[in-house]
Order: sequence, then C-alpha cells, then structure tokens
Amino acid sequence: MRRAYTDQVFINCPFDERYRPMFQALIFVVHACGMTPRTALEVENGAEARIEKLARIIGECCHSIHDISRVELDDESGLPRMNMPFELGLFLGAQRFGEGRQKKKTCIIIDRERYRYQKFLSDIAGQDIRAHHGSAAELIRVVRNALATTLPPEVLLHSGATMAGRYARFLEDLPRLCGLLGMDPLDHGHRDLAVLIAQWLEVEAGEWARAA
Amino acid sequence: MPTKKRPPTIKPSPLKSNLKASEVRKAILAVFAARAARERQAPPRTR
Repeated sequence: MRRAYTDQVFINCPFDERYRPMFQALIFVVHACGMTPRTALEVENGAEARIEKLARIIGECCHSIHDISRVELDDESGLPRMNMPFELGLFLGAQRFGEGRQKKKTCIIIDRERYRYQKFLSDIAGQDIRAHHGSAAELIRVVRNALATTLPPEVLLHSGATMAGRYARFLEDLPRLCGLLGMDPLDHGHRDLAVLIAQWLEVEAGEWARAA
Repeated sequence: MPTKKRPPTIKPSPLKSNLKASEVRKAILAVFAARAARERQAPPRTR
C-alpha cells in the first residue's frame, strides 16, 4: 500500500527499555491522529547501512518528532548519546536543501524541560521547543496539538486528554491482548506494536460510535 | 494377532505464527468485553 507523504511521521527517539512507555505513547498518538509512524526500527535489513535507512525514511516523511530528552551522560561510558541530535540535523538538512516536497517538512522538537537544549544544542535556538517533563500524557498532548496544525481544517481530532485516556486503556488491555495472541507485551517490535495499536484504535472507535 | 496401536494424533497448536487481521480484531473485542464485564461488577464509587 502506498502511503501519502503528508501522513508519514518520522520518530526520532531513544529505543531502550527505560523509554518504552514514551515510545509506545508516540506510536499511539501518531496513529490516533490518523497518521503513520516511521522509525529506524521498522525494517531490519543487514544489507542496508543505518545511515541509508535513516535517509530513506526521512525522505519519505513530511513530519517528524524529535525527543532530545535523553541527551545526557551515559552511566557506563560517561559519554552523551548523540544519535537524536544527529537525526534532527539530518531532517532539518533535508528540509533546507531538499527540493519539491522536501520543503514541506515540519518538525516537533521535545525535551524534558523547555530551555535545557540551550546548554547542549544552542544552534536550534529560535525553534519552538516543547517539554514533556517525563510524562507520557503530556507527550501525547504536545504531539497531538502540533500534528493537528498540519491537518486540513475539516479534520478535527480528540483532545490530548482524551487521547491520553485512550492510551491508558490500551496499556491496560495490552497484557491480556498479547496473551490471547501469543505475543510478549515486553518484547514486540515496532511493526507488531504499530499493528496492534492501529487495530485497537479502529475497534475502539467502532465501539465508541456504537455507544454514542 | 495383536492389534496395531494407532499413533497419537498430534493436534496443531491453536497459536499460529501468521495472525490474520480478523483474529487480532476478535482478540481485541474479547478484551473489551472482559473489561466491560469487570467494570459492571465493580462496586459503585463512593465519595
């Protein structure tokens, strides 16, 4: 299936266990806004170099979400993780130097605190940096509000609070659902999660419409 | 002459490696029904 460029959202965030609740929230809110989340995790192809994969996915996405909250010193190496600022730079470069549809690119930059980036990435000063304060509900609200501005005027979205409530119900259902499907709620890939979320939202919307 | 014992029938596992969208949908509906039943049985909230 060919997906529309303007419906695709590149997600640039940490992929570790500690970030899992936030990562799931990002996948959820993008789907809840009727768009398609894309990450470097979606395809594991040893024949494609990581930078090639990132460039391909970024080229296919009109929108992006960059969570730079985890640019911090690693406990073991004592070094910061720079992948998120690097991918943000790649996306901004595509928007600036790319042609045609690449010029339409939009990005949402999020950190833990609103002005923390000034200490490590002051080159992005002047961009509107949002803060999630480590809360999945706040992350959902921020992303929903930003993505809503990219949609045509005839499209109305649920509020961030409503979406956060739906996400809480999804998390409650996830272990039971995985049990029924023979899946592990703590070990599923991007694709599995995206399929479950998309289907869950669709079924839930049907139930909602029936109850109304 | 001793009768030949039939080998035990091996039943396929109900879990398939390729789940269809309709099966995922059925599982979601089952989870929703279980949640609705739990909510119906929960005692009413008091102030």
